[in-house]
Amino acid sequence: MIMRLLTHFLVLITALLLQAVVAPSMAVAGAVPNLVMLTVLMIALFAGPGMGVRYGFAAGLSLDILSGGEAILGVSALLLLLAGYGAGLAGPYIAASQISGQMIVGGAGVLALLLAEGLFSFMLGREPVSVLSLLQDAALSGLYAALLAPILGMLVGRLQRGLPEPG
Amino acid sequence: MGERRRIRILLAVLTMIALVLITIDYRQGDDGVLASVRQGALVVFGPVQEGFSRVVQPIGNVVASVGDLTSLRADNAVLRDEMEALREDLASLEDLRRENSELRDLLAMREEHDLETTAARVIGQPPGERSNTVLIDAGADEGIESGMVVISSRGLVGKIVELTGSHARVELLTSPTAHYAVRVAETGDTGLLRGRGADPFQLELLDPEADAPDGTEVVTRTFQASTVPDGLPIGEVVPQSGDDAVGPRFQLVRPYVDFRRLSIVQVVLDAPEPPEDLDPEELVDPPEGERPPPPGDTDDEEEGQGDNDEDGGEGSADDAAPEEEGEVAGG
Repeated sequence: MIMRLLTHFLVLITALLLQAVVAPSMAVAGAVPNLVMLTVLMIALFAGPGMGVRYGFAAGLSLDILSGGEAILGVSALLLLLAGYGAGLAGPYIAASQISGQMIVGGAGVLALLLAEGLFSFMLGREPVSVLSLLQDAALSGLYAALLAPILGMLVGRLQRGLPEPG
Repeated sequence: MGERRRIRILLAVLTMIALVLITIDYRQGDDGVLASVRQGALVVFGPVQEGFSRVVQPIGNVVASVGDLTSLRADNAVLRDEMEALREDLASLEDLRRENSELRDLLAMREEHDLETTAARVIGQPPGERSNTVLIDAGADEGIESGMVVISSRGLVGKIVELTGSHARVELLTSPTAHYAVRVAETGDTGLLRGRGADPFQLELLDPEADAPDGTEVVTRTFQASTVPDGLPIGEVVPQSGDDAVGPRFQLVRPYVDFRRLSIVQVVLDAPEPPEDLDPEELVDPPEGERPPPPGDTDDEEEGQGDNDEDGGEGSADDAAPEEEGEVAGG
């Protein structure tokens, strides 16, 4: 159990660092890959809804804390734990076609998360953006996430298989 | 069933925590406890991020450059186009520089010989070694007439043989049918120059005893009705060799002008037109009371002989020249 927690903690730290340092330079047409969101979705996909909820909450809370006051604390935590739960529930149903399933979960998950974030920001009076630009950014980021999902899925899948079963 | 329930409870608890955090943070803004937590997290995470950045940034740059590949290719194509355009400009610049130098030389030649000229561009180069004419883009509209002399910055080029209002054909010095009265600049010996195509010209010295050392310059000589200005450079005497060796009276002259690279030339408009002979009506009567010196006067005879010698020298050239001049006119 401790091994699993430690491993997921390291995955989270790595994802946060990559998101902060490497992801901005991977922007394509203004869309930046959401590596933290993708790891939440992929871990939930492989480890189930329980781990998805815990990892999603931790990852979201980390994003909120490290946002430097730009985001309201708790918003990303709430959205990512819900996303982790949903992806964890979808895991058993897409096992037959893993790559396409990962792409669908990754792409649709990131798209939904960004739209929900935009909705929260709008509701809480933060970062007023036009609906069109929000849709455009979310669509591009979702597409980007769908393309990256099989790579992250492969890494997370190997990691999960190497971990001991929870007692 | 227990596992699912546990997960749902966990989901509910964490959702509640998240909502509480949202509420607190929304109410407190940047002054609350949660703001302090954020700052503390940044204090811890900042150095980690900085160290990670140092390690990973090169990878990020590589990834970024891969991402920029499309735009880099487009930039590359644009830069290549610009480079080609600049290369073309550079070539044009070199051409303009050469043309400028050529025009300056032409101007110097015109001022040196005090000639009135009009410039023209050679638009039709000889297509082969046997072609001995070129077309220029100036004709009768510019005051050009048949028989006028054409020069370049290096010397005599040829004569106008045909012309229209806007164009003219120049028979080059290289033409075997073109004969010119010339003078060896160093010795003053006169002769006749014949073109031989791409080969050096043939100089026939009129005085059988005369000789033209190698390297001496050959210039034009105004002769009777010739329209060729005096003293225009033509070329220099070169050593004879092999089959060309025909004796000292016949020399070879290598032209200064490169007839294969003619680009801008000048047509001499005010060429001298000396009469073929003295007009009897314009003869000036000798002063009254003076008589011609008696034939027996030694001094006058010597002086007269000297004059006759000079005239005889020139005359000998002239004796040979009428038939040659006929050829010149014919050429």
